[in-house]
Amino acid sequence: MSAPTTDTKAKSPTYQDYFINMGPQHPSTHGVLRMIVKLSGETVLGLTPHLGYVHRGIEKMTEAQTAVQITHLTDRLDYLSAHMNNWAWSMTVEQALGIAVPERAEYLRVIMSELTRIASHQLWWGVFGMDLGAFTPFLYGFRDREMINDIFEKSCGSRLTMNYICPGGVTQDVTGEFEGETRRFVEYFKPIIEEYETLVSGNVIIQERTKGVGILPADRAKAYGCTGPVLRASGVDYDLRKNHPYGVYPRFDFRTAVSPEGDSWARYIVRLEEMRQSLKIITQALDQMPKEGPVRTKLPPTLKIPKGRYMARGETARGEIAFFLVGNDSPKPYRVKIRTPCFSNLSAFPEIIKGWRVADIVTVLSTFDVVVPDIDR
Amino acid sequence: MSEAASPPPNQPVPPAVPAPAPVPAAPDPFQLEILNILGPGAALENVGKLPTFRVASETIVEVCRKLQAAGFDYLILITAVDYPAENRFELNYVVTRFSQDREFCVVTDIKREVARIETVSDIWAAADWQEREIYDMYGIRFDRHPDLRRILLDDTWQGYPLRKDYVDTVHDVIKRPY
Repeated sequence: MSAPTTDTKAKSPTYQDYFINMGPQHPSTHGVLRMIVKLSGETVLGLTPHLGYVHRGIEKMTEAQTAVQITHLTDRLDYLSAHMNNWAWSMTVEQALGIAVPERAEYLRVIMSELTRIASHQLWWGVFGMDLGAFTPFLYGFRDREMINDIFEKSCGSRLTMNYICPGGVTQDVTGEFEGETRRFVEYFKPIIEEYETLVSGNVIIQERTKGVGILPADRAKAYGCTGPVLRASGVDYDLRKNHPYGVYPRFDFRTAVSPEGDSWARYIVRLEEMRQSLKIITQALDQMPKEGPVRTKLPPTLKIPKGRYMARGETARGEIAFFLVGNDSPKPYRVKIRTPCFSNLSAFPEIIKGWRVADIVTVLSTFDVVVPDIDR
Repeated sequence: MSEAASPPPNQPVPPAVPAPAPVPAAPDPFQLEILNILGPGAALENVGKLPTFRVASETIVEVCRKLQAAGFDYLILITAVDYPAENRFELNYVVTRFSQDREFCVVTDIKREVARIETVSDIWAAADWQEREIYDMYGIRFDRHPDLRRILLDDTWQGYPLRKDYVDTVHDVIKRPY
């Protein structure tokens, strides 16, 4: 609730502004992100992120691999949105080669992606609490996330880097228990979101630390290309699932979670609302999904990417991921550019943090929900 | 994809969702709108499925200003593609509106040995880091850029890794045959 401090004048003739290094090994950066902070007392005068500590050269690696192999690299970008990253890449390949996807696979993709979105927001919610000094939300978040991980483990054998959605559909059909388990999770989790609200949202400290802090105006968010909850918390009603529909999303009834304030609190409530909407989507998808049928189109043995430019975009838990693909009539792409949501979201961060205090860096960055491997690629 | 009426159990049936239609050769209304905004210097290129408009590299700032004035407020990405055989870098600017469900690409060529172009970071703030990344990976300099430094690689890194002729001298990389 406190306004940003503007008092930056020197306190004594020998006083100087000074620089501190936050990270790369700092618990609040959720990975290896280094920020050089210019300070006057506790007031932030400027912030420079230094990226690249987990740069793996994925864009270079794609030039030596085939389209199906690259699917394995995409879930190493934003490991909390692995299904959505796989999906966005699969859409790019399907667009380039004109591959159609079976109906059942389309529904499985939606269900898996929405489960991932919930799991990602659960983790974020727990870590957000921990950044503010509350350890309990972390345990609650991980307790509920475990159920989703179990569903994933049974469907694709993996809990983090799924590699389940692939060009042409999904790698394998789900087991017979999948539908029941997913419905059970949805029924279990609906009241839990309200529990999250009573546990954290009403807390005075949380509200004091987030309301009115780190305001990102809508025009700046648009200029920086921010997407996902960060953009929607600035009052911009933009969700690729609605505004640039892909897959079978147009068949579902849900609304985009938007909040006009643009502060940390808005980013918090937007994510909680998104979890509720995801539950709605999952229920509808389970109702509409064909009970049996193929889940993968038979692909030719080599996927030659025709000459030209292709692009597919997908909404991950953090915003928009886009794969820009240049084909060269060869099985290996000539160039793949990955536009990741966290890279663009983080680029707006140095501007809005100016004038706030050191402790606010932690909370505002936490509500930006950056995943460092997604930034660094 | 099998067209048989009753496929054998192991064969997938023809999918219900049709494959996306290829981009037609003639410009559709959306592409005509872009061509009108860009003016006579732009040429439509329909190779692949992303509508592409080729402009001259000297006019890139002017073109981007026109696009921004026409409401294209969302710069999705900028990237470069290296064509050493043709001695050029191709810069791709993928742009859309937040109120639009279609995106397009503005493409311009620069000579490889010059590797210099004007920045558009004052038009879209998103271009700032995107251009730094291109500088990092391709060594293309952006004139008037406020803070042109490497962004992902170390400041002491030698060479520009995403160039096609880049040879990694740091790591002992084995060239794989596929």
